[in-house]
Amino acid sequence: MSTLVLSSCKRDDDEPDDPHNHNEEELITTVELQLHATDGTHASAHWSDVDGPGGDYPIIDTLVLDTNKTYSLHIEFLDESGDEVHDLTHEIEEEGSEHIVCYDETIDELSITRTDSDGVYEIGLTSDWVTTNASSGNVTISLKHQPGVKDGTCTPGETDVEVVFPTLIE
Amino acid sequence: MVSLWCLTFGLSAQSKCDLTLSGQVVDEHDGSALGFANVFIENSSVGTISDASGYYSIAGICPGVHVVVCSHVGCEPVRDTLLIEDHAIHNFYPEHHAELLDGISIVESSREPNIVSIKTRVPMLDRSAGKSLGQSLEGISGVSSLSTGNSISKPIIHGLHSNRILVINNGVRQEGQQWGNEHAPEIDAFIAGEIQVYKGAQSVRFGPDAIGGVILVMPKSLPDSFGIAGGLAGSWQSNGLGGSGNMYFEGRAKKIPAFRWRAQGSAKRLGDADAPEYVLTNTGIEELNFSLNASFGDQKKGIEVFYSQFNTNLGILSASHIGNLTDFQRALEADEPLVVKPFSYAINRPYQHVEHELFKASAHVKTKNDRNVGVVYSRQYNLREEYDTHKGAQADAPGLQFEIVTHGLDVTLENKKTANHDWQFGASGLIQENTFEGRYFIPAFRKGSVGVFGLDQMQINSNWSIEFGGRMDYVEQSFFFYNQVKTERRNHSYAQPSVTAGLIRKFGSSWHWKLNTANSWRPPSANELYSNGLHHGAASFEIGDTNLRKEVSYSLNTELTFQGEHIQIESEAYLNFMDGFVYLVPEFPATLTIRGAFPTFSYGQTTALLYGLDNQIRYKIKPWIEMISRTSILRARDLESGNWIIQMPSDQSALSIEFSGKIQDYSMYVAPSVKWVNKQWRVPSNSDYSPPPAGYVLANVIAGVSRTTRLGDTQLSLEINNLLNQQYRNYMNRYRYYADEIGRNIIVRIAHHF
Repeated sequence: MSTLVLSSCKRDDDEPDDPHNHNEEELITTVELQLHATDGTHASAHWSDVDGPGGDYPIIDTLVLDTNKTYSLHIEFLDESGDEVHDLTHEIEEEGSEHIVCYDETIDELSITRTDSDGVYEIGLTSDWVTTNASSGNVTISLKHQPGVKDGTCTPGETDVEVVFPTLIE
Repeated sequence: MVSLWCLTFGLSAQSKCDLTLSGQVVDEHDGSALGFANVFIENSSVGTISDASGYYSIAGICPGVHVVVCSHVGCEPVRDTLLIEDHAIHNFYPEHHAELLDGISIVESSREPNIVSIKTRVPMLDRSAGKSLGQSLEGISGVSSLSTGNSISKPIIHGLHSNRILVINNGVRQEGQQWGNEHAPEIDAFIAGEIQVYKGAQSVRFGPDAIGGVILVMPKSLPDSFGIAGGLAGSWQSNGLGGSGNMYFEGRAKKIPAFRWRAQGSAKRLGDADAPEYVLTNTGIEELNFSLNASFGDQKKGIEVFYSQFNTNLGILSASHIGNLTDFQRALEADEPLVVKPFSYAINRPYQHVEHELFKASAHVKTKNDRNVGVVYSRQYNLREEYDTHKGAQADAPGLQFEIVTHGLDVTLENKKTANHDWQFGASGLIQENTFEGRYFIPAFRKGSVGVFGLDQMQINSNWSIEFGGRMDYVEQSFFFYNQVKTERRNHSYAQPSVTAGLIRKFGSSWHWKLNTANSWRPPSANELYSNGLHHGAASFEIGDTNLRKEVSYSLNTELTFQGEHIQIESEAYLNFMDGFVYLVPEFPATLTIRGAFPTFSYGQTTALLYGLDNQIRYKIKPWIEMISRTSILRARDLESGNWIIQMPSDQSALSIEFSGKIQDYSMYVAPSVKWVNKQWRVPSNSDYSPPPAGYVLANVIAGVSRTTRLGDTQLSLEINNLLNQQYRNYMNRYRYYADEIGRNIIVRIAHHF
């Protein structure tokens, strides 16, 4: 927290017609799903909004899974707004005690379980996806920021990401 | 404490009976203006009645010695013997109520030319020590506040706020980031020796943006008495377990009588506030301010410098910072805020850090023919940092930061009361630069404006006065955008006149009627033109419109006052027709982002009509009991859609009964009061996340005692707000979606002036 300082002659060192942003906000633009089944089959899907909120409509893939398989999922959160791609997944892992990834599937034929831990509670950057019969529906994936309030559930905190993947099991 | 002084201008004596005596009638104790006082020359038929702001003017006086008598309801008449050789100014200070509350020094008021406008002084500023500027204005009928919790409060006059209200701090237009609903005026309330509120448009005198009204914050005038004086004031409150303190020293040496000075500093610290059932986590306040003021010269010519600094950290209720609509829905459905922690003084993320610096240098010269020339230069620096719950790439950096620097220059030429004319001409110029860092909300910009105005107030006879004025402004604004490759620039410019006309009519000694009509305007603000982003805390996506045109208002205000022996009635009606009224229009479909879908609003314009009534009755039942009632009614319609306009204050009424008296040297008072606020059911359908909260009635009480000795004045007061610890929510508080208003608050104030 910053303290109050009485200092004289405060100045703005920036010029309005030369905007250079020293503190451009870090932005999650992309959620990437990589699923590997025990038999070696692979599935993936992207949800990306490279120009940030507003502007162009996001690009949303449909996730296609095989019936009766167990996949292990790696989820990645990326910032693709600049020239370089920043992978923010590692930061989330480091601050694992403040974050949780939540999976909410509307499909009875799919069950998802988180498989990692911050030492006390699950984080959800890796998870197991088990499919049964052919079906379709939505999977909502959200990343919650829960500094000081993490209790293993998805209720407290602020939502950083909330994306819906249309999902097909065939 | 208060000395009577008479200013005569020492010019050659005139033998014709055509001199004018004017001035103001002011309560000796609290400095409030006493309207409708009788002022007359003893043993003659020459006399008048002061207007609602206490100003009077008597024409047709012969040169010589006169006994002038001033009498007012509930006061001992004051008799002053004056030698009048030329047009003169003399103020009267009758002893009004017994409640002795010093602190507002009596300013030798130069007569404001636009007395036709409906103006109110904030009474008894001492009773609001420790409150923010916005909160201390709430007692005026027609004035309410738009708040964000207990720490951020913006004044609303006749339904208008933010860029539609102008705050003039120490003669300088306050230039900060007024456009934001959660950006409070950056002013230390302890600086104010006097606050005046103009209700209704005032663009001619003060420039664009003054559509809804003007708040004039005036520091105490520098001392007249020789030696060093000073004062200490402190307040402590139970809700937030903290308080504030103010200290000042001022002086004038006999060796250099032309030099006067003052140094002042104040501090404030409050922890989390309490609603009746839970702690409002992270709602603490820290404030640290100081000011320095010095002048050299006299009435004829002089220079003055003023420097002030305002620094604050304001906690934002933890539960109000939400990531997306799902979070918001959950917050709305919960009975209690979703984050409640034990009481703490700590201000954690999310919070705001705000700094404001004002430097002012002014000079005035009185010309041979008794005209005043004044020049004021000012520089303001405003810093606003918003720290989101989330840390950015740099852990200590704010999510959003604005810096705005403003240079202003004002020149005025005034002519006081000759041939029954008070006129004033002036020119003003302003250059402003804004930059931002962090997440985008409004762009960097550069702004320049120039304006010229003239105003004349003419006394036709003892019953009629008229006023008229005009102004022309030119505003140019350049906005800068950086799209990773190059900087793009977009220009907007506006040229617009403003006009005003008004009249005052007196009927006998008791009735008084004022009528004022004005045309005023403002250019669209940066957020209305270019905002494009998520509004944290409101869970909405706001999109500006670069094609917005200026907002123009045509208003009519009228006030009828009655001053009887025991009763005083002030009734005001107003009508404000606005062409190009800027407001937020819901957009479909909602904006889909990686955080989920957000309701989307874009800025649009419509034709709006705002009208209402303010009424105040003061009834002196006995010399020691006074009953005061205030009622405000406002209607705001969108004439194009036929809907009500969102976020307008509902009808409200307040009643207080004040008992006052004096026992030996001790003056004391006790004043219980109740305030009723109706539910705002006049809202557009399907445009808000949750319906307006129910109406409520609050009970408050204040009591005080004071004593004047040779060592100075000492005052002690005790105030209890929300006496019954009632649970309620206020439609005009942006936290109403998340939490109740604060519960019972016991405030103790002590002040000593020496």
